[in-house]
Amino acid sequence: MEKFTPFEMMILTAAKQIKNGDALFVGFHWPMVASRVARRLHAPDIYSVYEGGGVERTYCPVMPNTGADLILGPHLAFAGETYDTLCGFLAAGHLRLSMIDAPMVDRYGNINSTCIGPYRQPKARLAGSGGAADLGANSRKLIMLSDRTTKDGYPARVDYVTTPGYLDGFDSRIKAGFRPDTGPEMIISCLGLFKFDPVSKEAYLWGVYPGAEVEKIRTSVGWELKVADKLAAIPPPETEEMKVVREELDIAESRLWKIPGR
Amino acid sequence: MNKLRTMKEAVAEFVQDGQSVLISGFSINQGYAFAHEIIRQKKKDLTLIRSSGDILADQLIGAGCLKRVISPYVWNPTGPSSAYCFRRAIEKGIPHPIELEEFSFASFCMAIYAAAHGLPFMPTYPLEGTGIFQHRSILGPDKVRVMESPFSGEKVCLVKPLAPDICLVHVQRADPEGNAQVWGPLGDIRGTANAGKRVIVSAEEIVDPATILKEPYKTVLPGFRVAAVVHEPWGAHPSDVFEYYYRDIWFQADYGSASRTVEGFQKFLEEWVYGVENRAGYLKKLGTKKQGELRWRKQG
Repeated sequence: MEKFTPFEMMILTAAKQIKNGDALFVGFHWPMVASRVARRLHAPDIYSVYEGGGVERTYCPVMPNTGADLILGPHLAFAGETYDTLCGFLAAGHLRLSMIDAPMVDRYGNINSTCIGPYRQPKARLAGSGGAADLGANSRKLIMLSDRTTKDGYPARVDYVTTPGYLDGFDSRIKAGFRPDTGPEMIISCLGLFKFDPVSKEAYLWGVYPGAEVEKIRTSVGWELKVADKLAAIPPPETEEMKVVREELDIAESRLWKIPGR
Repeated sequence: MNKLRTMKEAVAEFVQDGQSVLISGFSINQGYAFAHEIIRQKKKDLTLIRSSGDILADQLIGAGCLKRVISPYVWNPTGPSSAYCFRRAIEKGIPHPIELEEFSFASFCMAIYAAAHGLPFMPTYPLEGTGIFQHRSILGPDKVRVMESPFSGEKVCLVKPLAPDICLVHVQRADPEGNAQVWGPLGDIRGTANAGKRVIVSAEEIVDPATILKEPYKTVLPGFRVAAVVHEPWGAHPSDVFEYYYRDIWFQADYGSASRTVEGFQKFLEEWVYGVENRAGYLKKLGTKKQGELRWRKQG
């Protein structure tokens, strides 16, 4: 079997959610790597939509600094405004899926990228929303990517809801005024794959990577994790798939991205 | 009418202590030349309105120019890593506490749209249940209000106009009268450039009015909207300008390392802001080799 790290597997599994021909919203960070891997492996004909107003149509050999990096210039099919992409294509429902980075995500799929500890006196202040709150509000199928492996990445409740998931679970998201056809679809993380219970909206373990131990996953999240009756077994990666994932991580590293485990 | 000024003149004449200042440009076309001149002139108690806080906001915070920040996020995209001056201000009140009002990028854009289009408010996307909705500072209850749609009865969030006293916009080219052109992906530039009554433009190139007339679809600000024009090549470095130069991620990384400590940040200011008289001095320091590496090529 081809060797892999859970982080590499997370990137590959995310890439496999993208179908050839998709138009998708690509959030900052790991979603950018996942969409590039998909473009190279099985989905060359995708439209990657970014909050800066650009829509990427062809593979850019250089890793962009962010989705708004103008190094994407010759690979853009569309150079518009945030009003067209984040407020337009995404909000009006023209994109099949969105991907977002989830540095801290809770049992109802709420993401925190704003602060650790109380908002007014944080232990650590992070970047804040950017378009993250809007991705939570308007994505028709939101896929969350987490590179975290320990409890602090999966609290029962985040300190601050930057990206709204299912808020307090059940119908709380609908009551808060979000469209019924929006919301998180799954969390793809270094631990495995989580989906959301259709009634309670709580995240449960849906699938695992080869060799993963369910007990270890249970103790790595901050709530009493429920596990699917029939856990999906994610197949091991092909040699070519891992080669592309690693090449893309090399390209990212060459552009000063911090890569876990390197 | 010739509206050309030096950056020094424009900032001295148009930016007053205590004003709200919008610096346009998303993570692209960032008005670093404006920001550095504001720091050199030791402007105080400003409210910065900006879509992508970025290390531009970080520098203004660290230099003590800002009292308030209205922005969807403040960070260093290279790495990515923290905006350390921003963190010190929020976590420890260094060099002094700042008031921060956070929006989502789309709701920020809607508030800008209201300002740029003379509307009393704009509807925006759902925010209830988020920290942005819950935590309010500068704008208080007026940050986001909720009403029932008069058309469908559903809940709608509303934002009021975010109108700055002055807008600073870095563009690709402008003529001496202020007709200003930007092209490539625009982020929020068209909206933020037009959100305030008073607009100051800095441009990579000053061109003939005839050049503007040849490609009017590139114009984001017609001359009558512009009070002053500054010729400032590389005025957005280390950010990028479409068809002029690429983003300097190495500079952003070095800034990240330097600004980890107050001393490191002060050293950065001494070197790149106080230690140079103007943007020309900054460019000389950056060097022609570096400029050559960053200059736009036919292939990305």
